[in-house]
This record gives sequence, C-alpha cells and structure tokens, in this order.
Amino acid sequence: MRTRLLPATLVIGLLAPVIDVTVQAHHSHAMFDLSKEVTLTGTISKVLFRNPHVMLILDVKGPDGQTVSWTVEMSTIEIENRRGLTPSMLKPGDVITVKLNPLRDGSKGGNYTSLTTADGKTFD
Amino acid sequence: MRTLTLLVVASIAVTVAAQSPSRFDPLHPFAGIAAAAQWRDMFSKKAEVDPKDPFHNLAPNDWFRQTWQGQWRAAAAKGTSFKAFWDSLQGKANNGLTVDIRSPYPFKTADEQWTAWLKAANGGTRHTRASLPDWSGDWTGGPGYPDALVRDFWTAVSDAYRPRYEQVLQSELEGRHWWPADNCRPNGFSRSGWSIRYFLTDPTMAALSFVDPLNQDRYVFTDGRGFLPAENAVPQWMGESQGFWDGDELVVWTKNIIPNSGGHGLPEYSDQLQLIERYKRIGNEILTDVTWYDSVAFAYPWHSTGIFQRQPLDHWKRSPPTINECATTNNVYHDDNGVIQQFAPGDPRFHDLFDDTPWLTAFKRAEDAKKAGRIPAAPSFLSLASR
Repeated sequence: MRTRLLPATLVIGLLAPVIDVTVQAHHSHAMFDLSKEVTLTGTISKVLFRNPHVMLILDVKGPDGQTVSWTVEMSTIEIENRRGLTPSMLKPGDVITVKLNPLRDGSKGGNYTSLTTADGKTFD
Repeated sequence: MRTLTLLVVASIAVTVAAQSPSRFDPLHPFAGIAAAAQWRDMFSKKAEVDPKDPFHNLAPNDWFRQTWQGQWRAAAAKGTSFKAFWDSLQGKANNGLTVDIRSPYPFKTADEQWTAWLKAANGGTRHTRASLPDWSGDWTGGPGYPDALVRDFWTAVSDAYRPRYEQVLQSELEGRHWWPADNCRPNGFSRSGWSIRYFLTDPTMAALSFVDPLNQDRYVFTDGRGFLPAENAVPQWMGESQGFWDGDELVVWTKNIIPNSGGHGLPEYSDQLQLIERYKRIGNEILTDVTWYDSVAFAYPWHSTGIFQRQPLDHWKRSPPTINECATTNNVYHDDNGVIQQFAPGDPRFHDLFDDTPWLTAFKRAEDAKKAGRIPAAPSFLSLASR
C-alpha cells in the first residue's frame, strides 16, 4: 500500500499562516545537491526521533558486497508527525527505501525526499 | 473558484485599505478590538505587482523558500544563467497585501512609549493569582518582523545597514545562506523567536516559554523591579524584559538584545534594538502588537502585529515539547569560503548524534590516552584505600 501525501512544500504552504513561526527548518539545505537524487535500499541500523532533526543511519550493500552507512536527514518531529510518520514506524533492522538529495561534497549523507517503510508506505 | 478567491482577496484589500490606523487611541490601542484579526487587518494595505520592482515583488518568505535548497546552484549545474534563474523568481506581492512598516505611534523611543503607556494604565494593574488572565494551554503563532515585501524593508532599513541587507539577499540567491540555527544560535526576534508555546504567569512575572526552534524562555518581570543595574546587565539573545499589566493586557519593554540576522530574506537588527509589546487574549487567540526601535539599523521605528492560536490537546501529541538537541548533535558548518556544509560519519569532526552515552565515549578515549602516555595517569583511588 502506498500512502500518498501532499508534497511537503505544498503542506507547508497551505499551513503557512498557522505554522510558519512554529515549525522551523534548522538550517538551509544548500549543502545538499538538489540536482541529484539517489535511491537507496538498505537496513536501518540506527534511528533517532529527536529535534531539530529526525535522523537515521541506513546500511546499504553495494554491488561489491561492501556495506556503506548513509546518514539520512529528515525534518522535525512535528513535521514528520504531520506527514504521518511516527516513531513506531521506523525500527532498527527494517529494510526501507529512501530517496535523497546527497551532500555536495560526496560524503555519505543526504536529505530525504521520500521514504518507503518496510510495509510499503511511502512518505514524501 | 479561482476568480472567487481573487475577488475575496481584492475585497479584503479594499476594506482594510479603507480603514485608518489613526482611528485607534495610541494610549489604549486595543480598546474596542473584538477580534485579533481586526487589529492585524487595520495595518494591512494593498500591494500591487510592480513589473519594475527590482526585488521581483517577492516577500522575504518567497525569497528564502525559492533559494534555501541551493536552487541557483542546481540550476547552474544544468547550464542555467544566473539572470535566467533570477528572472524565474517572480513574486505576487504577498498575494496583494502588505503592511506599513513604519510605527503608527507618535513615540520616538521605547522609553517614551513605555512611560506613556504606564501612565495611561495608572501605574499598572497589580494582579493576584486569582485575577490574572487565563493564558494556559499550548499556543502557536505570534509575531515577527512586519509582514511586508522585500521592497518595503529595503526603504525601512537605515542607509548604513542597507548594504548589509543587500548582501543577505544576494548570498541567499547564490545558495549561501546564514541562518542562526545553522550554529544552534537562537533566531532572535526577526523571524521566529516568538514561537511562544506556553505563557506562564504569576503576580511577579510572565515566563514566555519557547520549544521550537530552541528551548528558551523570556522572563518578563511584572513586580516593578525594573531592568538590571547597568553594572550587572548583559546582552541576551532575547534581551531583558520588564512588564506591567494594563487590566488584562500585558505590556513588555525589552532591551539589551544581542544583534542578530535572521536570514530568510530579512534585514538584521543591531544591539540598539528595543521593543515595546502589548499582549491581550481574545477568545482562543492572543493578540500581539510590537513597536521596534533601532536607531542604528532601522530608518524609523517599525511596527508589527501577531496572533497566537490556542491549540487543542492533539497538538501536544503531534508536536511534543521535546528538548532541542542541536547543540550536541549539529554537524552543520560554514567552510573557509563561507559556504554551508555538513560533516558526515567517518569525518573526525562529526558529532555522533547517535551516541547516547557520550561520557562513556569520552572516558574510553581518556583510558586509551592514559595507556598511550598522552595524559598523566594516576593510580586507582580505590587501590589507595586503607585496608
């Protein structure tokens, strides 16, 4: 099953009069390469539902059999909750798929644009 | 539907443009105000889309939303020229509404406004716990800088600070943002410092408690103690405040503010900023009125309004008031070229946000250092105990 949600920018736009001053991006996202999108399927090794960012580490096995750990940056707890993504839905050991804008400097990290959980729900 | 929406917006614009802020009593500004929006709308005015606007009819929110992800750098990677990118950014003049940034009050300084309001309130209302207004509950919203267009701010900043504002605007277009929260600093007053979540009041003070973006509080003393003596006063991100109650309205004077730039297409303020605020609960809203005095950064005193909305309990569940852990987990930095970057795992400068026992990590590092002789090693204190 795929849970299709409104794009985050649209949600924020619609709610802007109400939440603009209560939901803050922690930093600008200019360090992420908006022109690139990487799709990763891997196993969650660590996940933190914390402010200012929900974060997870995704262990991804490459074609050479080597596992590489990626840091996946998400939004605040409030914004993730608004998208329907709650702490109980992401657990270490879950195999998930993440699309992200990678860090420009090539480090193994990025800002997610969509996430598909182990049971097939997609949040973007 | 679209036509109807436009008609409604146009109708509102005409209505608010016909109202005059001069109709209110500057000593009792909220007198006769029945709804928070009524006060806010008194200061709205129609904004035209001007094809010659050098700021492309953008509001500060438009400015940052269309640049904060490094959109120019992504466009340039695809061969788009800066001019073509800039031409693609066209605002709608805040959907046809802006505000007068200039204060409608006759006062020239915060001291003057405070003194006049205190006198008009006959020295202020001394509340008991029982008589204090009920401002309990979870709140969202609040004020910030005036809800105006970039072109409005351009003329409202001082000549000295206009080049600095230009630099903010240019750097954001180029994807070189500087936001206070990049480094876990408080946002201050310009944009989001006032996302007050809880208003905690007793007869001596009002504590204005923030959760997001950082956990912090403003302490507004209402017992007449005044500001700290000059020899004890220190600048603070959210300044130092004293207040008084004018019936069920809270008046606040704030100064000793650390200068700050909120980024987000907004101009900065100096350490001379002083604020006079007035708060009043009307139904499930708290109306806020703010006068901004900064003779260094602003061309004249500014004015803005804001509205807090009381939230149902569901908001608490959706947005739990957690501790913001930015100070210990932040991996954002600005590199030698002033460009925002981020450390990733594997980099020795990476702050391991997943390490929930950092003291054990530090102890292990010390044990390793002692074994290697890099730091002095002492015998176990337990081994020295008399037996």
